[in-house]
Amino acid sequence: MEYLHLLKEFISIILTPWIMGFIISLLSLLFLLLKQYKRATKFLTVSIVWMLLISSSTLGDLMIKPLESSYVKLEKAPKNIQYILLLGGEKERRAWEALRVHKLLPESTIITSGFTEFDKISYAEKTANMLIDAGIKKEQIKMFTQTKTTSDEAKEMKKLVGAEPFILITAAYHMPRAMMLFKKSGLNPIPAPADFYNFNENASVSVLQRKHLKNVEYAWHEYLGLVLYKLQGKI
Amino acid sequence: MNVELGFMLKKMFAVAVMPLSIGLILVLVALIFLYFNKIEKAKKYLKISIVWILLVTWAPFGDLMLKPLESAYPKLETMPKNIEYILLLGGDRDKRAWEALRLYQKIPNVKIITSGYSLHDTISDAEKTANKLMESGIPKERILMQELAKTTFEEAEWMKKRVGEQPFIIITAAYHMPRTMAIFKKAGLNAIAAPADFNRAQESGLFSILQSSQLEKTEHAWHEYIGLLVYKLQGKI
Repeated sequence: MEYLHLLKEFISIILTPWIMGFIISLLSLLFLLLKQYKRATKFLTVSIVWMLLISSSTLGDLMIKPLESSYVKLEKAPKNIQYILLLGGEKERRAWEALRVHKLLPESTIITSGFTEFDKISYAEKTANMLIDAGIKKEQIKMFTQTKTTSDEAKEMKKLVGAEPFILITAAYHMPRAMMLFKKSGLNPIPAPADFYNFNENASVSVLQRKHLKNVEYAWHEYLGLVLYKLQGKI
Repeated sequence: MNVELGFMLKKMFAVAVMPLSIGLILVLVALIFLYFNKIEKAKKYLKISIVWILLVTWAPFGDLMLKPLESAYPKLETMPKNIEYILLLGGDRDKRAWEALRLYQKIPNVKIITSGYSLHDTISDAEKTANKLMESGIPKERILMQELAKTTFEEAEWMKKRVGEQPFIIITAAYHMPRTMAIFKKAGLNAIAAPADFNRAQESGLFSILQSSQLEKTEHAWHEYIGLLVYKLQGKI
């Protein structure tokens, strides 16, 4: 089990787009040392073109758009909703949506989620503290402090609400996978996607920017995750 | 020189000197040497570029660079009295604006000034931040907007006109606070630092390498040091 987890981590690192570029230039160095100059030149050229491509607005926008356009911003919250589930990860970006939706549903409880790996306090607790600082009452927050994955979060939620509808908040690019997983688990989530990428139709094409690299990386990770979940029968 | 062109050149320069760009430029140099059959030189540059990439994406390196910047001003715990304005500087609003919400809860009757111009968009960054704060429950009449200043230096000039020597709170990312405070002090303003968006060193181990989140840290710190240097040379701080 531990091995499998490590293997999974290793594969997901290797398959990160810019690390693939880095590995290609490592191979090029290897060919140089082996005096295979033609191959070295070829690999190095490929690596540079690859890096320019994955750090460009063109590819970044192209990859993230289909994921983000699956669900629109939640404008009207249905009445009688008791829980708002805020999935773990990138709390500073996602939790804004929890504040906004909570204004629409002042009686609801916000659930924060996430275990701890290196730190003393869990991610759920950190998120809760941030919300309390922002003015949410402590008694309107509930925490899942042991959840590692989206599957864990679905299991906990199933125990808590069963088939009752609730609001599900996560990053827009992550929403398609989260919704499939939650529905498959027999839950009735209402999507409230957060942290939309701010597309700029008027901006010219730009390269070598970390924000595009991040979009490519996140989108890539999502597509791989979708395929993997499908193969495992989770969605 | 045309102001807009100068601004674009500045932005381009800022991209070219970023850690990742430097790594790629080194790879490009290696490739050029390869094309000209200068094998030894190509090897050298390729090795340097690989070591460079490993270094700038390694957690301890990013932490080391950020630490001096972030430890200059601690989180604001004791709320000062009689504060009328909180200036929330433009930038990564999702991360910084949480500090504005926190202080808003603690300081009665305070007003928040959001800041940021519009480069390509129809609405300014200041307005986007203001909308975000309003959606989170801050009433419209407690928010003001500053939509013209493009740099921290111009933000200080704008603030000087508005508050003079009256003390106010300034929020920006912790790593950006030393430069900000230097500029605001030089402009004769009485700013109280409320740093936000601290990078948490303990969340990453010694083995965190080749990660884009680590690259982000290095990039932020790098950008600040260059900014400090440039401002120093220009006599702005």
